[in-house]
Amino acid sequence: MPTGSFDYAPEGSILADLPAQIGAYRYDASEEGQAAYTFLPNIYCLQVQSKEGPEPSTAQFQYILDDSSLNASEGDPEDQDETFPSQFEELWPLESPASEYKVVAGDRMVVLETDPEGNQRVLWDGFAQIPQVDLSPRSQSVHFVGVGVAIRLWDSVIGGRVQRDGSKPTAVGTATSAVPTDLPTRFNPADPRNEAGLANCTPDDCDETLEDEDENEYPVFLDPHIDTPADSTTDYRSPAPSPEVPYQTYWTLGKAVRYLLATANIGRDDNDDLWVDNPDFSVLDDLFKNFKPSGSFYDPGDSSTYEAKDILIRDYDATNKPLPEVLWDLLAQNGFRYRFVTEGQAGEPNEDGTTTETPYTYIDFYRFDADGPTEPKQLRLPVSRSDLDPSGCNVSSFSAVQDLNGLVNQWEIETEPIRYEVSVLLAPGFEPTNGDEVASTSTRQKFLLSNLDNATGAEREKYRLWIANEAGQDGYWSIENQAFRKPKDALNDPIDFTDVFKPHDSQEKDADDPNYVERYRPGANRLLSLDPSGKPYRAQLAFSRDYAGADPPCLWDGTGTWQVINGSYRILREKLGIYITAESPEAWEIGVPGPDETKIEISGSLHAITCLSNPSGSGGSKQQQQFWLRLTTVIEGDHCLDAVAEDRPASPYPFTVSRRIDAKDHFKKEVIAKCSAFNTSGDEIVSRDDSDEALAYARQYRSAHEFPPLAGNAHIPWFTRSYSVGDRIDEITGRDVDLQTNAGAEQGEGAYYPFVVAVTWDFRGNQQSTTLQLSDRRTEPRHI
Amino acid sequence: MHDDIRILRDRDQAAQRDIDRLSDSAPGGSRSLLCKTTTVSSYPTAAQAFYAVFNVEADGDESEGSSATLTAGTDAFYAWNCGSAIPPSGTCVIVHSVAGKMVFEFNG
Repeated sequence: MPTGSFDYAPEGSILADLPAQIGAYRYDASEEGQAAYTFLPNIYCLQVQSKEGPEPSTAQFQYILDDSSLNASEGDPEDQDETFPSQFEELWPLESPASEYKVVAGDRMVVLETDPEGNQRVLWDGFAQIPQVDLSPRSQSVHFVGVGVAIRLWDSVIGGRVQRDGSKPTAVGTATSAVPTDLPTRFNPADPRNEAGLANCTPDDCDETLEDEDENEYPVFLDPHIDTPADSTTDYRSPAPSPEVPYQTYWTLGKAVRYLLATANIGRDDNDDLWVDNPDFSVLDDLFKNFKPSGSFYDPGDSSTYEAKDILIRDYDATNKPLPEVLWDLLAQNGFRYRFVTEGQAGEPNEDGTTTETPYTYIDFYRFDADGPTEPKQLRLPVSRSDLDPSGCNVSSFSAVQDLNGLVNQWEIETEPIRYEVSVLLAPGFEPTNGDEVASTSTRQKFLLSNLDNATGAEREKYRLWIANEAGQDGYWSIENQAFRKPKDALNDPIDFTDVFKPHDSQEKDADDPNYVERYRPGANRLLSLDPSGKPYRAQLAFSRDYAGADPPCLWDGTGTWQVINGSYRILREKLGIYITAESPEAWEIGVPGPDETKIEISGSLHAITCLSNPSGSGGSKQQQQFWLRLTTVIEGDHCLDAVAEDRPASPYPFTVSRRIDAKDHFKKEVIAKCSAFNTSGDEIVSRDDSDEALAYARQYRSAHEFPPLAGNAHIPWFTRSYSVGDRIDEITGRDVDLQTNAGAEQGEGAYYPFVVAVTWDFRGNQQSTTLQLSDRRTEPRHI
Repeated sequence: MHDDIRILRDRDQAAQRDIDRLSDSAPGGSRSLLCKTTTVSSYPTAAQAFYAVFNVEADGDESEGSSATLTAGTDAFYAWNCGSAIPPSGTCVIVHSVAGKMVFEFNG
């Protein structure tokens, strides 16, 4: 086989070339091919700009107002009916005469590029919207701005939600599986009564199917309060879930975006096509995930370096907002972006063999991190003193700023303090006096509720106030020592919560550092423990006559025989304790115990004065013996759940810049302490822990903010379609300038490059150009 | 998040907790019980004395002339007789809570 070789040294590009042929056309979607377009020879396209996010593309047009261009068509040049409008009064006012060469608001227009062979490609598609006139002594001009077809997404706002019948939460495709309502479209609403977000999405794998060619699937809303039946064998709903799995699920980013696109993107053109086409829903759930790094570094393009987790939406109400703005609200803060893409679809060839594209617009979502939608692209700038060669240089000007002021590399989730269900022994918050039990106006009757209006502060609390002294500033009666402990008494001991409040694993503390601060902790009336029907128990007060544990106030140690008190007290709102509200503490109506309850006092009444002021011994009357009170309630700890996305070595900033996100309405941790009367396990029970979900939320914020944005712009001195919104620029070749903004590439960290957030094609004057804006549409630094 | 919104939400949550703390327990009031006198150690020999009593549950068909089934408890408490006669042991009496004491009246 003969062999040979040759050297190929192409000549450099020419320094100047013909500009792209750009034309403005009126577009009629009911026609096909070239017939859909009507060329507007008196309108000049000045600029087309595309941007990321909830901003439709725009195009600026200008009328050619020139009396010399009077011949609009063949015929008598003096026939004014065949001339272009040449005065502003013929174009700008709403009442100006109609003309085929005049564009009115709402006209559909397309900007086409015609190549030397005559093939036409779509550059922009939209509607004429904003006419403007500028008149001066020396000139007049009439401009108008066109807005991309995506503007049709702003024609309506999101209204009521689509919800499924509560009786058939897993049924799909029926008349009642997706019922339109006027109820607010609110995802995972917070509920102050439950102090957490409510799940109100339909179960997974029970999605509705959109009537489109992709048969995209989407979830709908479900009543957050319907209960899963405890006994699935008698459940008439089919298929019945296991009792532990509720029907409702939380809205994730993926599910919410699918729902919004399916129910709110409904505007259609005359051909019954969506103005802005939806993406394939099947990829959205996987796209909108948070990546938990397996180590210190991770590469979003390599799934072995991370664990993907769903991102839950916090309480968000989308009602009365346009769809694009809702999408931006949900996605941008979590490190995702979207763009409206207008492309041309090739149709049948024209009679002359050329092709004319048909405009097509769709919405495209992408990650705003090292796993962008396309492979990174380059700008070209040769080293100084190189030969001028357009093929090796496409940048005529470039400016950029790396905004480290905008960097936050550590995020912490603020939640409500961890809540603990505890049982505490209360101490009398008063000093009993022997003789108070005697029935006279100067003693026992003094403490009647009807007599308290004129009573002193001490008398109002006497025999009624029972406390835990958790702040160490309350006086209380020591039952064991039969002595009153004043607030500053050395023997005045606040209740010890050490066995309840445990430090976070991440907390750096010495053994002597306290786990909590002594402060007031009012009890809640709703417990964490659930009754057999799945509802939380109410706070419980009980009394005992044989308790032999530590002297109150203290945590319950599990000893003693206790009878529940069913009435005539209220939980204090300013501190941990109760206040007896009976007419007379001596006749404290506590309710008669039921047949299955512990019976200590079956008369239904406690002598809360005699039992303290003059208690009988163990051999005396049972009704006059000392009693102890145990309150089971829920109190706050001092720390939120542990959800800190710490700074990573990949962040190029040497300092840790930390911020907190207020998520008190959504994530929580609840613990049933070992001392709770409803906890028979012998150890604390964590009844709810959203730490993983909160951490995933924090990590997503970190991903979105841990690298400094490289903001700036690059100016290319010709029209080019090589760069689009959403592209990444990784380097300036020639000069070998690496635009990576994060560290750790050698350790496997995915490279993070600036994104193109806006592309502007300028056709003004004698030179066409393309301007790219990077990462942020400004160059000045911004302080957080 | 704007500070005002945060503050308003905290207030709303505090108000919800206060509402939740409002006692839904039964209001206080004088209690009446059907009881039966009994002997714990030594039955009283005077009319106006404290008597040991069991609470009694009455049940039966609520129709004219039908009889009731009485089920007595096993835990005794003490009620004072303000009447003029000594009730025999096992007598059914209506006991009221009066100013902190359980009281009944038996006059024979």
